[in-house]
Formats: sequence, structure tokens, C-alpha cells
Amino acid sequence: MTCDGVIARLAAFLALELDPATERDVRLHLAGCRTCRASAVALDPLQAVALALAGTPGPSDDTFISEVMAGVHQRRVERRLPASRRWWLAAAAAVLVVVGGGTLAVRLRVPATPTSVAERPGAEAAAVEPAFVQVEGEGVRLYQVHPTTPEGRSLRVAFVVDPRLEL
Amino acid sequence: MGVLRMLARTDVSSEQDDRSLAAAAVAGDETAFADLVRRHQGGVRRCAGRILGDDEEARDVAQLAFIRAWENLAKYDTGWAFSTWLYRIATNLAIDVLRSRDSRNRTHVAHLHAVGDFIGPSAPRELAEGEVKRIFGELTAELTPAQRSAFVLREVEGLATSEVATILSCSEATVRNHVFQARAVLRRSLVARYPEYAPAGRARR
Repeated sequence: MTCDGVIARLAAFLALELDPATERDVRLHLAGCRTCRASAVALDPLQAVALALAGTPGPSDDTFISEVMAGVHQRRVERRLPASRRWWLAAAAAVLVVVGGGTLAVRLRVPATPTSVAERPGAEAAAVEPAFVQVEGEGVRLYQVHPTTPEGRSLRVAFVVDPRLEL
Repeated sequence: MGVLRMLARTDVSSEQDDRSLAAAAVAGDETAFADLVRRHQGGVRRCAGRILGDDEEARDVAQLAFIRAWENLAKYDTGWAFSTWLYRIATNLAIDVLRSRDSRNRTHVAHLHAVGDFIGPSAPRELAEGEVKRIFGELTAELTPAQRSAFVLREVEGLATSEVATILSCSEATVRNHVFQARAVLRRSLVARYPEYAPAGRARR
């Protein structure tokens, strides 16, 4: 489209009255023609902002794609976990929160006496090496911890983690 | 750039490629879905960024939009352009974010001189783009989420009114109303803050 053609259509362009194909041509011309862009801005100062923003490329990087695909994979693993197992995992996570919160509360109320790992038999066994297991055909990492409550009760808590999401 | 993206979106083979990739992704091909992310991340992130005025939030919204798209691929109606469907998801998420925050606290302060630079013959383009972006964030703070989304999709992204209506789930008349109301608010803001760039009687709607 020529400059004359664009100038003749500017009023209709600003009134949103052009058909999509003609509007595309006008926009394409405006993107590359400083003179016609100035004419559009003279009619509507807001076009200075709108047209400038329209000419800005969107951000694009491979990290973003990786993050999206990691999220997709995580959702897929979660979906494939049987519902009963998902419930069990949620319950286990809740137990851990309660136990952790309780332990923290006790520690806040009672001045802590420094103890080393060696003074707390069983502390070494609390963390277990993660195992790589298959869940519905997907390889996941299974972490198991055996925390002990302040009352001395032993718990077993497991977490299933997508290895690709691990730091 | 926005205009070129719009032209690309109307390219029939490009839309067919999108549909083929979407079909492959539904069948479980994650590489095909990654290709869709690669093709559309720029447009979705830019659009979300314009609506939200915050690049970090826009990145999160765009990421969630793609994951939602993947989760709902089986429901994707191939009668729509894939980009329209994707923009609809992203715009709705961005509107949710706008409604859940006080957008006035996130506006940026800038000088409109950069807009003059943009029009001027020797403006350094990179600086102008950054300044215009901040100015836009400042001016749009008073818009409602619907006005802001309609203005960005129609005026900045250059989508057709019918497509914006599909994305926002409203009529074309409503889209026009939102855009004209947004223009009125923006123009008032422009006159109040930078009168030298909005002489009286210049712009009408």
C-alpha cells in the first residue's frame, strides 16, 4: 500500500472500521514508514504508544521452553499416579508439616540444648538414599525419610519427585 | 514484531502447522508441544506483559497458559486458530492476576519525551522501546482489566475485532466499546500528564 493509500484510510483505521486484510496492510506500512506513522500520531497521539509497542518483539528463550516442558512433565507424572497414591502422598506431606511444625514449636518454647548428631541415635538413619523407581512407565525419584517425633514415635514419609525438576 | 506476527498468524500453512503440532501433542508427542511453545512464546509473553505491565508476572502467566493449554489440548477446537485459543487462555489468566492485585502499586513512572523520540528522526530505538513500555504501564493503570485487555489485543497486538471478541468471550460491539473507553481514559491521562503531546481537539474517540 502506498503512503497516499494509507493516509486516505487513517481515519477509518483509527475508527476500527477497516476490514482485517486492509488493516493488516495499513499496519504493515505504518510499521515501516516514519512519515505515515507521524500522520497517524497527529490524528491520535495515543498511536505513538500503540504503534511503538506493536513494533516491539516479544521475549523468546530456550529456558522458557524448558520450564514449560518441565511443568508439563510434572503434571503428566502427577496424573499417572493412581488417585489412592496421590491421596497417600498428600496425607504424608500433611503429617510431615504437622510433625515439623510441632517440633519447631517445641524448640521455640524450650531453650535448645546443643546436641550433635552423634548424641541423637537414629538421626543418621532419618534420611534414606533416594531410589529411582518406575511409576506407570515414568522414572521418578523416591525419597523416604523416617523422622522421629518429640515423643519418640517413628514415622515413615515418602516423596515422589520428577528427577528433571531436582536442583 | 507485532505486525509481522499478525501476518504470520494469518498464514494458512502456519495455522495448519499449528494444528498438526497440536494433534501430535494430543497423541503424547512432547516435542511437538515444545515446538508450539517455541512458535508462540514471544507473542504470548509480549501480550501478557502489555496487559500486566510486569515482565516477571507475564512470564509466569505465559508459562501457566502453555501448561493449561497442554492439559486441555484434547478440548482444543481446531475450528479456531491455535494462537486464538492460546491467547484466550493467557488473557484470562492475566485478567485474573489484574483483578487480584492493586495494579496502581505496580505502575511505572516515566517521561513521555521518549515517545517524541520514537517519532523523531534520530531516536535510539532501544531506548525508545523501553521508555514507551514504561509510559504505557503508567497510562493504563486506570483501565479496567477488560478495557486494558481489549486495547492491548486490538490496538497493540493488531488482532481483528472478531478475534478479540472470541478471546474475551464477548461481542464485537463490546470489544469496540472497551477499546473506545480505553482510548478515552488513556487520552485523559495523556492530557493530564503530558499535555504537550495531546493538543486539544486532535483526537476524538
